[in-house]
Amino acid sequence: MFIKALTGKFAASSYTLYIPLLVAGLILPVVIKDDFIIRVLILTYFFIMFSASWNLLAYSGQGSLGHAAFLGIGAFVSTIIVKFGIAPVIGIFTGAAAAATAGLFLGILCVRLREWFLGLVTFGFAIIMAALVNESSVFINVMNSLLSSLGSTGALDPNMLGGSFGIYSPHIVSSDMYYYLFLFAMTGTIMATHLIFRSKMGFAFAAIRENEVEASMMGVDVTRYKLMAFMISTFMAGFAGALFAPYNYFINPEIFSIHYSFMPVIMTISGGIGTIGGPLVGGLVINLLWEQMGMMGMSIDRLLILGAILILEIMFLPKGLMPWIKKLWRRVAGTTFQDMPL
Amino acid sequence: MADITTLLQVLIWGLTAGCIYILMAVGLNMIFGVMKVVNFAHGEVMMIGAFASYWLWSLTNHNPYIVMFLSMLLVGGFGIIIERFGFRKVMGTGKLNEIFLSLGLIYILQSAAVKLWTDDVRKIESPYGSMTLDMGMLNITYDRLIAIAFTALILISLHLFLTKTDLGRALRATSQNHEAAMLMGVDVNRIYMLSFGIGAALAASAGTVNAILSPFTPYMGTIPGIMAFVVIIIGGLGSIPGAIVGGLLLGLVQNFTIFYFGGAWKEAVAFIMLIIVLIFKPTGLFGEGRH
Amino acid sequence: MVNNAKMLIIAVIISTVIVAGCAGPSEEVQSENANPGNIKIGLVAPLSGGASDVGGDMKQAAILAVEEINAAGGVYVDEYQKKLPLELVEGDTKTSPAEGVTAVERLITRENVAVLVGGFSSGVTYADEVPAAGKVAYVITGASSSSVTRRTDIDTSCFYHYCSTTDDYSQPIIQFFVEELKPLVAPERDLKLALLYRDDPFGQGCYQSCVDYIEAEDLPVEIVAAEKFPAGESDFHTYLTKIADAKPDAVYSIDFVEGTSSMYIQGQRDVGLNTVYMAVECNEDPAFYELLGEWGDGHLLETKFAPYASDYLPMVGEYKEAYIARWGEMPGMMGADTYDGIYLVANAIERAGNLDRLRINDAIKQTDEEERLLLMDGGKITFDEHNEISPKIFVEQMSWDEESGELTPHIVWPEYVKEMDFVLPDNYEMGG
Repeated sequence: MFIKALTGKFAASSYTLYIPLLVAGLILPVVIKDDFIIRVLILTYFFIMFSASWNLLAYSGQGSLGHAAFLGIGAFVSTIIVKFGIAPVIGIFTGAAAAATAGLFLGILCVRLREWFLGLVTFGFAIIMAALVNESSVFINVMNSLLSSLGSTGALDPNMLGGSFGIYSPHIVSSDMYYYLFLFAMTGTIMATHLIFRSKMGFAFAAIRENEVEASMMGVDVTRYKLMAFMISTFMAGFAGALFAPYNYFINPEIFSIHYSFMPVIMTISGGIGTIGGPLVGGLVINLLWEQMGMMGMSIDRLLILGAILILEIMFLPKGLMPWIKKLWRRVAGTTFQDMPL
Repeated sequence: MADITTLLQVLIWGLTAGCIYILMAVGLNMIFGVMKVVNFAHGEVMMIGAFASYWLWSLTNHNPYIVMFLSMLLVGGFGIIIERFGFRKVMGTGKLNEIFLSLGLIYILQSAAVKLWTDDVRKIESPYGSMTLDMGMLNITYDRLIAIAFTALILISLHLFLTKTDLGRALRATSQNHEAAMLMGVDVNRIYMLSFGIGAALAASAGTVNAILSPFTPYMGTIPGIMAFVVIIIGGLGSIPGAIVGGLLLGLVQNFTIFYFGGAWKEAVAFIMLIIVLIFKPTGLFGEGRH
Repeated sequence: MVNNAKMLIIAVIISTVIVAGCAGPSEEVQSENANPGNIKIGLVAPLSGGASDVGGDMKQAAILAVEEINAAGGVYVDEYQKKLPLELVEGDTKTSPAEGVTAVERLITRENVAVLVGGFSSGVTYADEVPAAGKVAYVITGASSSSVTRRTDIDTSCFYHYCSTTDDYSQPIIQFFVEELKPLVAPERDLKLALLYRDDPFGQGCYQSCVDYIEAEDLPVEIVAAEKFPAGESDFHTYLTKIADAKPDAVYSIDFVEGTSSMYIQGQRDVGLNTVYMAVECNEDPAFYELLGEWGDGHLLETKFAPYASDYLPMVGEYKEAYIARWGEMPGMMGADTYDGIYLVANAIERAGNLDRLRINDAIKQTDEEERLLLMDGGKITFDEHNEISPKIFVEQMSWDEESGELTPHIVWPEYVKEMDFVLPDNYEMGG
């Protein structure tokens, strides 16, 4: 499917837009020598990836309020695997796969639930994950005694998840390479959502979002596609988490906090929910605004402003900034441009 | 094994914790039952209620239990404003938008409370603070008894209001069928404001009871707000008996979990209960039909 | 098909917008050798989020110290042959590791601070140290875990721990119980101690160092109950009921102001656990006494800074008055460490003679000066091989005055600073 989409009729028009995006991304570190700005950009790319993952789930009509759970699962699993001395690439993908497995489990539970249930169950799942990590030493001790009763000599370190303190997460690339890692990962994530939205699967997601009953009458296997949306979305979230932990050099249960669950919601809505470019635009605008406010010494005020932005957008700009960007795009790119990809 | 007095004592702690959950969950169910709207910021409304009572109490120095009724009125009015200028605007544009609106409210109400009242720890001094009812092996403070009695009072008056008054009947009719109620001449918009106002007032009473029992900060509402949701899902969305049973159940289960397994599981056990209920009876204990 | 030239134009526009948007002011950052107007000191603290009250105390104390130093003309820097004023630059950690790293990174690369002071919460500090490792001196004044200067995975030569660690406070508390409480209530048997602690690195650290210390010294103390609770808990009834079941001689409660005061009150009033309660030093805060009221009578508080009992050290009295004059409230303990920290780095900058970060770091390392708000072993501030200080810890007992309606603490231990003897609370009931 991937190859087909790349070589298909969309390739010529839509996907060329990634070239200026990547070029712009690659120019930036050459122009900017400031480590702090680079960090802000990396965080922005991270949130764009994370928002894109949340957006994919929302595209199928399922709004998660606990996406931080999958971010954290990816981060912890990958960190532990890397610390065992296994290649980071394997660690990252295993972390993402672990998040997708958890996502599948939760998806099965939630597939028959409506919006508010789903929101609450996902929200609760993040809290359960935080409690599990906080109490991890208890479980690891139980596992160790089980292992030893089975005749195993090796034992796991009961403190390997760090409990509520946290653990250090070794670097997976040299520290000046993170920028490029996140840039490519972010572009890849956006491209993946682009491919999915334009595929048969994407149409099924949209149909389910608009009306589940009609979708199933049209022959869409609602359960199957809802679960697929869950798995793909949580895989992406886990992937983002697996990159985030080593970049911060540290990981603790704070990753399961509502800050990380709500940020992608706010960012996606700001950009435009259900659009390919929404997470990109929203992540860029909200994260840069957030850091700019931090630089101006705002603390409580920036939370207040964040809440006000969210409410004002839902009331007056429910489609986010994307319609404006599209308008601007038409003016810049001319009328010959038919298939607006973002 | 713990002796029976200890277990009874834990039972009482569970009951009073349950009372606060009940006040929260009944209010949330009023709103949901009538408007089919979910307010994730219900816990923040509770916190605003606690601060409103604190503010009135420190201003007038009256008995906090009397001040509480004034604060319920104030916060009820505040709830009406939120409904009229917030939720009303996004109703019908998709359930997700209502959820997102309440997320925004969480940020705004919490930060606004920090700006208005700072994040210092506060407490409301009860005139019965040091009085306890001695029942042989058990001691119960008056404040706890009042909390239990007050919850019962609220539930009975709510029941009477809903069954014996015209307005209450209109409210129930709206909750059962909007269109039919509208055809019967019920002003649905007024009913929406009323139900949101009652819900907010109940949250304010929960906040005040909580503030009398223990110190509080602008961050006090987050966990009770979420727990109220767990309660109404366990009990059944829109069902007031469900909210009562669910609230008591959650209060008891949480406190016995602390007793037997330790406090680290207090919050997680609520969601484990939630998941169990969703697997075996997705409509909740008292829920009717499928949602 | 989109015109490639237009693509390129768009790419350039995107980059320029971002560069202009966030890189603009960075041109103002001057190199360290240019003549700077101010000496920038970075304050790392939780200024928003659940711990913002602590952050507020740290910030107020730091501002006070900076204003005092600037009122005296600032800090003399030899290289410029003049006094330069200090400038405090805040970095809000939100008690989040990732936000903390961002804040410290900004202070170092953007604000170009000469030195960092602050750092609250061990987990957050553990993360936000990383960008400073080996580059900028960081005087940590609010993290209790000793791992922040003893970790081996990064270069810790720039980190200084100017506050007490969980070992620093749990050990004297146990000593106090053995020396003062045991002879009164359990002369013949082991003292029965119950712990009620917050389930986070701070609480677990306190708990663990109690257990380790009792075992290492083979002390006659038995831990009969150890309950942990999630951070932010305010309903302690069931925990306390469980503890009451174990019939302890004393309860060591480990939390911040809101939780600890709830434990004291709920334990005595609701559960009927009439024993003696001990709190950790971060409760040395005016709010603690206000919340406790009469329920604090006869109970204990471990601290290393006692503004209410200010006679033991003249500087504390002066600081208290200055703090009240500036902020209209009593100072708390978290701010005292930070206040000292600012003076410590100001003196180090003066000794270094220029604003080179590594020179300042060397100067801090060689600190050997008179104690300020915190009493030190030997009366001098010095950093040991782990870059830790050795503060003196004491225990206060609170007494409630019915007439004035005030709860005031008095130092009861150890011998050289004590104002009065420790007595059992009036309602004390024997454990065992």
